[in-house]
Amino acid sequence: MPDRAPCLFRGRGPVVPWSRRRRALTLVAWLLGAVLLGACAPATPDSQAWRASAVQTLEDTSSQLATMRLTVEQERRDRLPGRYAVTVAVDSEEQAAMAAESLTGQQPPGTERRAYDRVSGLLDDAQSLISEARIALVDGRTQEYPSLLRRLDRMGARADRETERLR
Amino acid sequence: MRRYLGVALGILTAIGGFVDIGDLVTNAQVGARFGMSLTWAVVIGVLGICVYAEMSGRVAAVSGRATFDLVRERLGPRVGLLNLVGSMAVTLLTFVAEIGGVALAVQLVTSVNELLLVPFVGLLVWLVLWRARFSLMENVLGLLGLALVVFAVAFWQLGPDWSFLARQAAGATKPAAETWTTWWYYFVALFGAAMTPYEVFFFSSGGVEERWSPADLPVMRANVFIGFPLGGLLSLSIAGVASQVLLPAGITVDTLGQVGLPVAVALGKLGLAVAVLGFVAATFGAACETGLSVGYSIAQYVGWQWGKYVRPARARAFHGVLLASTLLAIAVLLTTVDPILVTEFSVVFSAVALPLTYFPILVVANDRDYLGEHVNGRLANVLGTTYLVILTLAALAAVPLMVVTRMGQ
Repeated sequence: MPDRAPCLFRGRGPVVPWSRRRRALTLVAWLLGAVLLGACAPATPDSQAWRASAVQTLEDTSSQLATMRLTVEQERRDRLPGRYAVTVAVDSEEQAAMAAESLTGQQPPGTERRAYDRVSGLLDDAQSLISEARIALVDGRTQEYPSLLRRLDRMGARADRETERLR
Repeated sequence: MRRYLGVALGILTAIGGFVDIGDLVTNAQVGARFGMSLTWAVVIGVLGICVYAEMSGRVAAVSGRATFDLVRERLGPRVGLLNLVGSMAVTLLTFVAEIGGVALAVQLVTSVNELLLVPFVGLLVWLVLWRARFSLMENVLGLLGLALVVFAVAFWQLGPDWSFLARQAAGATKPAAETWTTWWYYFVALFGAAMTPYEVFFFSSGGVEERWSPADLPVMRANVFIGFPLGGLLSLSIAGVASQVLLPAGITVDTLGQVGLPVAVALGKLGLAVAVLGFVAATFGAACETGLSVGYSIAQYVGWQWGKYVRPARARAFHGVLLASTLLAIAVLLTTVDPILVTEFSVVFSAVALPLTYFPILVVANDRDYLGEHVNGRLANVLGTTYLVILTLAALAAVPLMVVTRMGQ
């Protein structure tokens, strides 16, 4: 029976007992695992934080719908150079996608599942409509503008109603 | 007659050169969310930049030496280094934002992705910094920047309720949906955008480049006290058109394209074309100014030969810094970071760096060894000290407000 526990390293530094070294390695492994799991898992806000995040996302989406509405309206009145209108439309599409991603990347609390379904459905519809408007602008399908303007109005009003509901 | 033309040219370039990407974005964001209720932030900021630009211009004209040169000599290398690091970090961040701003402005009329444009814009900025004459660069870009006057015309054309706007501006009221914390965040951001440190470094170093003497003091003061406030009016016009078009429509500003939309509503395609020309000129001019300011600040601190009035071969280190900072700006933008986000950070961190930038100028402007009879008078000192208190409060509040409001959300 050795008079002391086996050692992992015997260099010029102090001799560290194997058991203590193993405990330290285990702790590091646990911490590393926790960090990796934390990095993979979605954010899990509580109900209040999730609602605040949803309201912010809906407001951002509503702003992009309004931007697209103004762009289509000015294009219809021939007050925007084509490339400018396209750039603003593409930017709106990207911003709306980023806003939606910031919410849908979060794990909704169990109590908010119905609200989540409503909001995520609305965000999908809004993004599709913004993309549709961008396609019409790029193709110059002017005959579709009046209908797009009405739909953008309705979608904006729907986003505003949902925002009020979640406040 | 020639002298009057020179004064007029100086004033016009000061107006045209006043607005940069920070002013464009922040004023439009504020107008779209708060109407004209943050007018005081611009007024206080413009008066502050006038006070300190006049001081630093006077220092340059009387001593023939630029700010960092004197700060290091007067306050020692440690304080000088603190001043250098704080100011230069913000100026470099602003340089990145301005190059990104030029790319975004060009993207508006070409539809080419800004990432593809960034290397070309960077190369063009560097070529101008390397080859173009200082006066040519300042005058051409400053005069083209006057195209932003189209925002004032559009504001007028939109026919706002002037008495309502005046009450909103004077009363500093906020819309019910916004919080006071967010209001104060944007107050500090607007203040930081108006008093960006590079403006003072560029102004005083430019004075040395153009070999100002005490005889040039009246012209310098005309540029500052007429040109800068008129430039401030352009900033308010940008907020004004946003308050008339974007605020009622519920649009918050996330992109440069949204900043120009109200001009299209008011003046149509031609007006918007002039506005885009103004965007390009203002951001390109500011990119040149910030790029030069980075080179000026390091070269003046270390004691290298600097400036565009000497051949590049005689100021190799200075031109090396210009090249390195341009490459760094391009590299940062190619990481796909959003230039508007960089702009938002740059105006907030400008506010943080303000005391580090302006305190040494106040000290040097009070030193009779450098300025003799042109040392600060009582009014300059009262204003300078008052502003130092405001600057310190803004610097202390900037980061906590940024965190609490999640960058103004």
